Amino acid sequence: MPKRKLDPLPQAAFHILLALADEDRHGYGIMREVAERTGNKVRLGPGTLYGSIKTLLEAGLIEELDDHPDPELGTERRRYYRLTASGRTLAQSQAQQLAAVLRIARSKKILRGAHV
Amino acid sequence: MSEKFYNWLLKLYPPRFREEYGDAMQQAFRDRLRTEPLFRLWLDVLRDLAISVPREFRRPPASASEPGVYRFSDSAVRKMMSRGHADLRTMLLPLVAGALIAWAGDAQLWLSIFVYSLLALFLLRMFFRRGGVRGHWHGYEVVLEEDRISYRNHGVVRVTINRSEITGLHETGDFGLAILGPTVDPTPAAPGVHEVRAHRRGPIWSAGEGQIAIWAPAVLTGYAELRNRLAAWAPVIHEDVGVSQGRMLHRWHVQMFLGSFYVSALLVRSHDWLLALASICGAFLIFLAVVVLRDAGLPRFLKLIPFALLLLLAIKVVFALA
Repeated sequence: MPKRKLDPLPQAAFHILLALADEDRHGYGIMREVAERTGNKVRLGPGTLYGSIKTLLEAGLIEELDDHPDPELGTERRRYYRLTASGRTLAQSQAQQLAAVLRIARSKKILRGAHV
Repeated sequence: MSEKFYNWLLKLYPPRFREEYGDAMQQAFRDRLRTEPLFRLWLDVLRDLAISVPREFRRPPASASEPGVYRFSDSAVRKMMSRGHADLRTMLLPLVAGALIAWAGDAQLWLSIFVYSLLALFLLRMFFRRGGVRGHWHGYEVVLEEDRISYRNHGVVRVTINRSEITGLHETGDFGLAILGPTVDPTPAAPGVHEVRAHRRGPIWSAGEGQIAIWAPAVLTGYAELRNRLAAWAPVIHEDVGVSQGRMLHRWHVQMFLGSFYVSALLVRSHDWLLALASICGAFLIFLAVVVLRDAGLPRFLKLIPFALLLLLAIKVVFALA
C-alpha cells in the first residue's frame, strides 16, 4: 500500500527525506529546513507535513525517535524523525533520476546558466 | 485567537489522524505563528487544509493488515448501504399505497403526488448511498486481541471488553453478534447502558444496566473467523434471530415514505412556492434535530420535542392544503 502511494515520490515527501538527510529533525525543523533550502518556494503546511510523515513512517523510510525538547525553541517536547537506510536509498535514487532529467534538459538547451 | 481557530479547524481531519498528529500540528502552527506574518501563515494554512483534509479522508486504513482487526470490506459497505431487496420494498411501498388511495379518491391528483413521492425517494436513496454512509462504515473496526475485544471507529478505541468479563454473546439475525460485558472504558457514551446501533437507523441491541455491548456485524470481513474465536472464549452463543431487524427496517421504510410523501404533497397541492420551500426547510431542520438529539444523552421527553414540532407542522400543512 505505501509503496503505491510513494511511486512516484511526491514532492513534499522528497523534500522531507532531503531535510532529514543530514540530521534528525522535528516537524517544525523540517518545515524550516525545506523553506530555507528552497528560498521559501516550498512551504509545507502542518497537514501536508504530517500526512507525508505518516506515509513515510508506514513505508519505513523514516523512523520516529523519542520525544525531547529543542534547545532553540524552549522546553516543549517534540517528536523527532530520522531517515532510515531505505529512505536514504530512495532519496538517492530519486535525486539521480532528477539529475538525469536535468542533464537532458541542459542538452536540449532548455536550461541555461550556472544556477541550474 | 489564531491558535484557537486553528485547533478548531483541526476537527476537519479524520479522528485517527487528529489523534496521532493533532498535538504536533498545533505545535508546528504555534512555532510558525511566532516567526511568520499572520496573513502569509493563514494563506498557507488554508491552502494546506484544502489539500490535506481530503487526502487524509481518502487514505486507506493501515489496520487492514493488522492481525486481529476485522473491518468492513468494500463489497460489504455497498451491501450495507443498499440493503439489497429492502431498497426495492422502500420504493414499492408508496406506489402500492398510492394505487389504493387513487382508487378511493381523486385518481389523477393522488397519482401525480405519488409519482413525485417516488422521485423524492429515489433522490433520497441516491443521496444516502453517495455521501451519507460510506465513510462511517469504512471506519468501523472490531479488534480481537489475546485478552480483550475492542470496537474502534477511525482508529479511536470506543469500547473495550475483557475476555474474562464477557457476559453474553447474542447473534441477532443478519446483523451479527452483540458482545456484552462491563465496560473498562472510562468515558462510555452513556454510563451503564449502551445501545448497539446500525449506523443511524435504530438500535440493534440494548445492553442491560451496568453492561456495554460491541456489535460485530455479519458483513464484517472475516466475520466467521471472528465468531469462531469468540465462541472459544464464551462457548454459548444465544440466537436472537430477527429481534429488532424487522422493526428497524419497518421504521426506516415508514420514515422514508412519510418524508417523501410530505414533500411531494406540498409541491403538488401548494400554490405558494415560497411557503412550500419554507415548510420543507423547516421539516428538514426538525428532522436534523431529531437525528442529533436521538444520540444525545438527554431525558426522553426532551427528545420528543422535535417529533411534536414535526407533527404540528404536518397537521398545519394538511389543514392549510385542505
